[in-house]
Amino acid sequence: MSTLGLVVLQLGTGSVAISPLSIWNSLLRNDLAQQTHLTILWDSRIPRTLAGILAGAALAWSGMLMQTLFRNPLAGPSMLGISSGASLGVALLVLGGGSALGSDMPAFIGIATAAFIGAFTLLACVLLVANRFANESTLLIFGIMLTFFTSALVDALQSRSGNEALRSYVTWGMGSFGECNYAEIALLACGIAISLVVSYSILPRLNLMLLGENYASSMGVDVKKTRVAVMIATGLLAGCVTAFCGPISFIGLAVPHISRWLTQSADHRKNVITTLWLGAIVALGCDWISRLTALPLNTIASALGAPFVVMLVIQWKRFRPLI
Amino acid sequence: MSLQTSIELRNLSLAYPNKALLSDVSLHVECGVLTSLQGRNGTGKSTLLRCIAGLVKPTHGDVLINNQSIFHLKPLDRSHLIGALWTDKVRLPGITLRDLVWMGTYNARKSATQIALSKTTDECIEALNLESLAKQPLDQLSDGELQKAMIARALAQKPLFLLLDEPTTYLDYIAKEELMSTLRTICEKNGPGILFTSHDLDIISKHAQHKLELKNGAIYPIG
Repeated sequence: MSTLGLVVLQLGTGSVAISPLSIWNSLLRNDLAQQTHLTILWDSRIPRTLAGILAGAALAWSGMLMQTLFRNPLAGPSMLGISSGASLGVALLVLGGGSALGSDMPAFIGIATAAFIGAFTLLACVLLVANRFANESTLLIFGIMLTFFTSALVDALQSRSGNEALRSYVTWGMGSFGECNYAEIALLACGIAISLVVSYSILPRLNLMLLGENYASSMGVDVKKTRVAVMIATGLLAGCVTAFCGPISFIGLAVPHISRWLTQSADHRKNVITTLWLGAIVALGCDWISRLTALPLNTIASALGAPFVVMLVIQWKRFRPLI
Repeated sequence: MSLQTSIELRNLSLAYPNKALLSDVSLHVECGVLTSLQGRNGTGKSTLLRCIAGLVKPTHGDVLINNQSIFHLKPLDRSHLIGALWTDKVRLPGITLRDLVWMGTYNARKSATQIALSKTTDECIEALNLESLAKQPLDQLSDGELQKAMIARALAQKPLFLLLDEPTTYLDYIAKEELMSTLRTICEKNGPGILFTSHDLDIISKHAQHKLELKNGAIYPIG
């Protein structure tokens, strides 16, 4: 019901208010639907809402997978350098290649492609070296160092770019569900579907991974293969979202904790649906507030997410056992 | 389960980067026998157990079970030969003791029915006298109860050998006695061979059927 309520709010509010009945008529495209409402809903608010639902669910589940892989409550989809890889891809296109493209801003599809290539190039680097590492902690350090390195490259590009290109890059970095078209939403849905199939196939192993690598391995889990499967699933989820919606912070970090807190369990079988559902709700809620306040999505997500993480640290004893 | 089955350490050498732990050790650990391994801190008891479990590769030599090198087996195949209790801390809140023991049957999920896996789970819980705690979430168990639950989980793998790294840690004297008696009973009922490490010489002298000491890079039988 809460999801439905948020969807109605998301579809009905904005510069033009649309009543729930008009939304219903427009969704059915019947004779009672007004042309203005049809245009606003089908061209803008419906794709934005769908993108929010899919991206929120994807980020939340990828966060859950990362926290399990690293057995670290502060792990998130950005930990493997996926987001920073996407950022580097976009920075290279917008900041590095901007001058080569003349004064025209690159098309959004170009940004999405660059982000996608950047995210998966870095994920491929991590995958190539992942099985050389003895444990997840080393992999985590590698991922964080890779993030720092790519950030340094992005900073260097930013320092040498013009105002126009810089503005374009910063706008992408603020994150938005409003730029997705139906083709991108379909791609996002495909990425999520593949990731969920991969996740489902390793679901029994994920609980064993929570016991630690030594236990998981001695109980029959091929830790290296599971690690790669988790990284591919996470890469697809976070890579697709970052490519189409920009680097969105905090949802991937915070939502898995809320899910475990609600189910009072670390069991992945109990958390799949809750995490996906909560991710969608939180993303829709943040996007709705973002539209109301005319503030960027990442500003809202961080403004709501940061106090949550502070609460997480302050009430460590209560939350710590839930991972 | 064959009583002839044994873990064979063949010319095994183990080393940390700057320290030799074991050099050219050959040894047999029999199935159906409760074997203890004692030694001072840092002598490499835990590392040796991890090596036997196939988690740490030796610098030289091999670990064989049924003439198969443990290092050439896939984790799933290894899990049918070796179950283990490590000293790693485990936190799985919201998951019940029965869920944890059920996890031990992971290696048989493709070959056994749900009913058979449930039966194995219940038998292992019963073997460790944990029936009254079966529905308790793990975060509500004492350290000692959790230790026994982890052993029941390892038993649910139905391995040929159990490697228990300091199984009596966290247990009071009475619980230690109960656990060791239970382990000996499990061993003697044609169960797995058990190799356990301990610093408790009282427990070792009272319950171990075969005693080993790790000292100066070699393993010596005691008594």
